[in-house]
Amino acid sequence: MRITAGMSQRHVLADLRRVQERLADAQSRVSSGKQIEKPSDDPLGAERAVRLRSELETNSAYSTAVDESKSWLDATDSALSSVNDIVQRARELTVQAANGATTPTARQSIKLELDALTDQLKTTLNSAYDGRYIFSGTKTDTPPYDLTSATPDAYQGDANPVVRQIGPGVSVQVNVTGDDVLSGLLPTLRSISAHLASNDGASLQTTDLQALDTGLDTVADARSQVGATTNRVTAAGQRLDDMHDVTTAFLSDTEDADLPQALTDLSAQQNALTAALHGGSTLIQQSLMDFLR
Amino acid sequence: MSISSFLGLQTSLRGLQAQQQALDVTTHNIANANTVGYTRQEASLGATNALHVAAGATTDGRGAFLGQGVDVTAYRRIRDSFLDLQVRAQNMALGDASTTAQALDRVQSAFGEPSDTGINALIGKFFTAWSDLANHPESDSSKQAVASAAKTLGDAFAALGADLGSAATDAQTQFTQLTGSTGPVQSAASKLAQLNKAIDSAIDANQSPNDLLDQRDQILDDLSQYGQVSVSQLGNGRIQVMLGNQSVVNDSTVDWTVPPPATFAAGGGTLGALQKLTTTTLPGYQAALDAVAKTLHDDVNAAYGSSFFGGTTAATLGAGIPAASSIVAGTGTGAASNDIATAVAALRNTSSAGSQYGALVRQVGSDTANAVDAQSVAQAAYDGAEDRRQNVSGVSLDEEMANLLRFQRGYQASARAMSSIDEMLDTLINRAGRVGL
Repeated sequence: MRITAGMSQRHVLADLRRVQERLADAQSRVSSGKQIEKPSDDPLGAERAVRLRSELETNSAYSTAVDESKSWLDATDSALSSVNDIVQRARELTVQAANGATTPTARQSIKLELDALTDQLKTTLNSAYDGRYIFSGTKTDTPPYDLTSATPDAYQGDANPVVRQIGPGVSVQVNVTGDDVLSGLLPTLRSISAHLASNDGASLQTTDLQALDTGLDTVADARSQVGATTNRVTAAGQRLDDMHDVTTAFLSDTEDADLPQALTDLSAQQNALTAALHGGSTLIQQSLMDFLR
Repeated sequence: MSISSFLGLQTSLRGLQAQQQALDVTTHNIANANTVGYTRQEASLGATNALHVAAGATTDGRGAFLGQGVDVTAYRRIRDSFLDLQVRAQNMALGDASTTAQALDRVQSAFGEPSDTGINALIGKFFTAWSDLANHPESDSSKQAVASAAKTLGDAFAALGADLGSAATDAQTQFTQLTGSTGPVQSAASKLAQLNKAIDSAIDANQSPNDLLDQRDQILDDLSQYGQVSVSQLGNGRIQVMLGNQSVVNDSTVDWTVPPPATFAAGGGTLGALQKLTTTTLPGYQAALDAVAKTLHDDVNAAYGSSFFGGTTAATLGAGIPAASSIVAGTGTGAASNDIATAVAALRNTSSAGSQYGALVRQVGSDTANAVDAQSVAQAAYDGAEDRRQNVSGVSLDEEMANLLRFQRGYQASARAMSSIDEMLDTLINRAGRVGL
């Protein structure tokens, strides 16, 4: 093959250009830390990276819902715990009042405390979490009981569930309505109050105590429901955290550069460039003219 | 018949002249060693027609053909037209691939994926805003966040749609410039027409218009990056040149019309790539992006139960998004009613908008990667073809230096032969017949 001056020169330039392109690629992989900087670097990988990023975003949205649900459930449980204490106290007072030795005067003072406890129950459920009345069903802008109205025992909320989505197609009801908890207890307490006023020890001893126990059971049921939901939500949160770690690792595998390899590539390309430059400089110098005289 | 005493002088003179002409060609080659498109030339030497001596040239009385030296029979252009075809085919492929790669690289930058700021991320943030609203249906700021995430998403769709549109417009503009009255095709056409005429007259005058042919081939090489160049010979060195399905020049007539007719198909090259980009590739991306917008529009509006997104194209998606104050989170009367927000948020798992968009990103990525690969393949193939052509036609300085020596020595030897004959004649004319003087 006849090798002409133009050919060797073009070869040297083409080789240098190729080496420099590869060097620039290696350089940008090292500096960005990314294997896939643009879709053409790895079209399938880019699509996967896009999907994985969506999954991470979805995951974090569900995690937010899980945290939110947990706070709601914790607030509910702590309110129900107070309710339980109050009803226990009411039961103690009722037992005390039911004792035949208790004088009518003493029953009157017990009635006062019991009425105060009844109000305290409603005030407890009127407590707001994050600006919302959590015992009003979906009417979270309305307190469940209006103590100043003509019918202070009437439930002001609705019976609708408050539902949170904590996974694809997985929803949980996070609320317990005031009506669920107090619909039986309030009439019972009112009737105990009435029996205390009328000094009716027999009713206090029998039906009233039974009704209070039923009320306590209702509170306990509500608490165990909240507890079960909390467990479910916590487990879902744990799964989301695990998925987050797995997805993050997968995304990193997909689009992040393998740094040791990227650095090795970079220095290999630098050596190649030096070699190409050196070779080119010696090749271009020589011709027959150097040797003829 | 006797032979002239001066025959040898004439023979030597022919030798001197031929060697000198060969030297001239060599210096021309050396001078043009770096001229783009130059084809090395060669003075073809051939023995001059012999002097026919009918009889008495030899002792037995037979005749002979006596050599009378050397002539330059032709100035040859050393070129292989088959290699020209290879170079032009590869140049066309290179023009096609590099134009496509450049345009698509710009398009994929407009997508800006994979990232935390591209449309994919914004779709995710849009649905996250809805799930935040589902968690806080009472909150005005959550509704505000939904409205602003929707607006941002609509803007991103519109911006990407506009980027795709302007990429198509730019390709169209580039096509118009290249094929226009000040473009390279038009200027090649008029130069080719002039060269055809000049080559025709030179051949008529029995000359070898080597340098004109080089110029013409160089123009055809340049033209081949824009499209499929085909050349038909019309005799006497004249040619007709077609670019794709359109005649550029026929003999000395410029056929190229500005603008080219709508039926013009470049058949490849930069113009072919631009045609494909404007008519197929970019509108395809635009349609795919519009399809993503439509899916998003249909799914969200169905889940929302009334109009949320206004339009079904990338450009109009963001139109008509309700104000934050009129966004509703649920159908119930309670402030915490969140069934609508939950339904919209659940679309992140069920709507195909995300996967459609992912497929579009992959499509753009693989089209770009293919074009970039095709570009480096075409570059290598072009370099290879150009090497093969240079192998035949290129000026090798070493070879020319050797030729320089060869013809210089030939010239010296012819001159020496002439001196010898001169000495012989000197003896004959000045010394013979002077015995005793």
